[in-house]
Amino acid sequence: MMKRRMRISLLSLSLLGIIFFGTLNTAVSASTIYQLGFTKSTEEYTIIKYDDAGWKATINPFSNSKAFFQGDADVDGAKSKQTIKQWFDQTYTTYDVLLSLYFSISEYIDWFTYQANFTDAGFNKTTINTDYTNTYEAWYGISAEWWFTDGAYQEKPDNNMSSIIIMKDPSDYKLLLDNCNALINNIKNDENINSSITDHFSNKTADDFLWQLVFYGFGVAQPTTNYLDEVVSDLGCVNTTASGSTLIFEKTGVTDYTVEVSYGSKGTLSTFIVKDVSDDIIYEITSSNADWIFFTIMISFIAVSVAIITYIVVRNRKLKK
Amino acid sequence: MQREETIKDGILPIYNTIIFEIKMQRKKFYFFFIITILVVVLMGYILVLIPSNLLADTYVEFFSGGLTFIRFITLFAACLFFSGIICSEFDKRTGFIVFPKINKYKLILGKYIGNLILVISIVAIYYFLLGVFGILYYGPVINIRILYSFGFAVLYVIMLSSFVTLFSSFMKNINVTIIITLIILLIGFNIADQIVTLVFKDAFEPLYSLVYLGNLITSILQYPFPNPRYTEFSFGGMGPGGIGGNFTFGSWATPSIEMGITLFVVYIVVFFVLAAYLFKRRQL
Repeated sequence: MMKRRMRISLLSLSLLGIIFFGTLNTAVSASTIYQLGFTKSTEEYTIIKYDDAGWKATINPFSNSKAFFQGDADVDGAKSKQTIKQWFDQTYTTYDVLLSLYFSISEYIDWFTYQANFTDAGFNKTTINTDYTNTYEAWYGISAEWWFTDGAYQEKPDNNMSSIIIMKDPSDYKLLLDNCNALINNIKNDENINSSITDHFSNKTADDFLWQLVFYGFGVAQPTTNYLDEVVSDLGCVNTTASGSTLIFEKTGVTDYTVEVSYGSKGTLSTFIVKDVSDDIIYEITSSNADWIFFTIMISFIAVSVAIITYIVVRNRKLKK
Repeated sequence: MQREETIKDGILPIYNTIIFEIKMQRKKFYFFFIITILVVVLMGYILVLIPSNLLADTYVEFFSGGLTFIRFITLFAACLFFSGIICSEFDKRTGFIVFPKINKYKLILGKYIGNLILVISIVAIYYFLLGVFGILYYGPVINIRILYSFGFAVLYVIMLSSFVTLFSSFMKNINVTIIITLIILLIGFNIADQIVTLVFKDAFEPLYSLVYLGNLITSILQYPFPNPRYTEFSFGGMGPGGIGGNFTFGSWATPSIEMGITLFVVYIVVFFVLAAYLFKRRQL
């Protein structure tokens, strides 16, 4: 009898030990400086304010806020939403980041237009990745995106494969920018490629690159403040600063203006504010979600269930007495 | 006044039977309640927790995916709850009492409604919980098609229950009724559908199949509604030089909405009328 008990105790201890060791192992392997804040949920964005006259007087007399966002982005009260659907680890090569993060849309089109010329001069996926051997570890999120609308949302999203990219190591942004700038320099200096082609491409400053990333699905890992601080300082931005969970871009259009881009606990865009020199808001987008509705319903449901069960148990006990 | 009392006397036994039946079947209900919660939590929460598991684009698509198991649950629930409605009366010999205290039809009706309330409650809990999880991912989205889907689920339950009640009216005991109805609904109709589709292809829609009619529960959620409803997939010619046998596999996605509603109603009426007739004959 004693032996049997002893065996059971030993077995229990061994199992507990395995579980504990496994947990510890997971904790060690999962321990990185930054953590991912993604949750599968929907964030709704609302245009709180759009001052068209202010925009034209400050940023560009020939554009409006549609230059930044798709749909009815120039209508007060218009709404858009984004649902995070999936994410996974992704390893980028330099060629990958060149196409997906570094190039502007026009550069991306030009790259494929003149691809034969670049290949002839020795710039293709294989050679680029051989010359620039760095890889960049990232979290890659996929979301469904409904663009701004002042009416009801369409049934299907406008883009169901919108990407959100977060580099696991913020210093990788600097590394990939340097590599891509060096590559573009090489291409521009290559005598085998006509300068009328290479003129379509240009180096990017850290500020321009970070500004472009904001519209390319730039996401932030947790803790947000540290992550943004590190991105900005590593990149060596001149006209961009990080303040808490906000990136502040100092920009110049017709006059000077600032753009404040904040990131929420999930790592996605939270607010977007454009201010003129006198700090008056020209354009403002805020976000909200309906998580509280879910928790309210769930808590009510559980409370009602517990109340009913308690009532039945108490009643049965009384009946038995 | 006298008329009111007559109505009350007519309804009260049914009401009492409903309450009694609900109490009698409460353990089955608890079992299905727990299973329903587990299935919905698994489909609507635990699987979604896996980061690489792709969440549906919209609330309605999420709902459609989450309803995968509703037909299994309703099918098993219908077989287990309704199989004993009539045959248990004869199995326990209460059906042979010449002067019963309660009208036998009222008794059967009360038992049926009591069980139906329980099974529809299970379906409602399934929809409610799935809807709540949907709110977590998509916010409070209201879509009328979810209500239509619930409506079809209720019709499907009534149709299945009438089918099981029909079997209960002539089978000898509950267990055999459960096994036979489960075999027919789970395997029989599916095999028949496969054979019919293989032989007749798009020339004959398997509208006889209760299982096929149940497809409307999820297909009503699709936007746009499936059209064409019959699709064919071809395999073959994949060998060297394009050689190799050619095999075409066709399938019917769903009945049309109008035809589905009509057949639900027709089957419900036919099964109940037959069940009532057989029940009456059995008493003679």
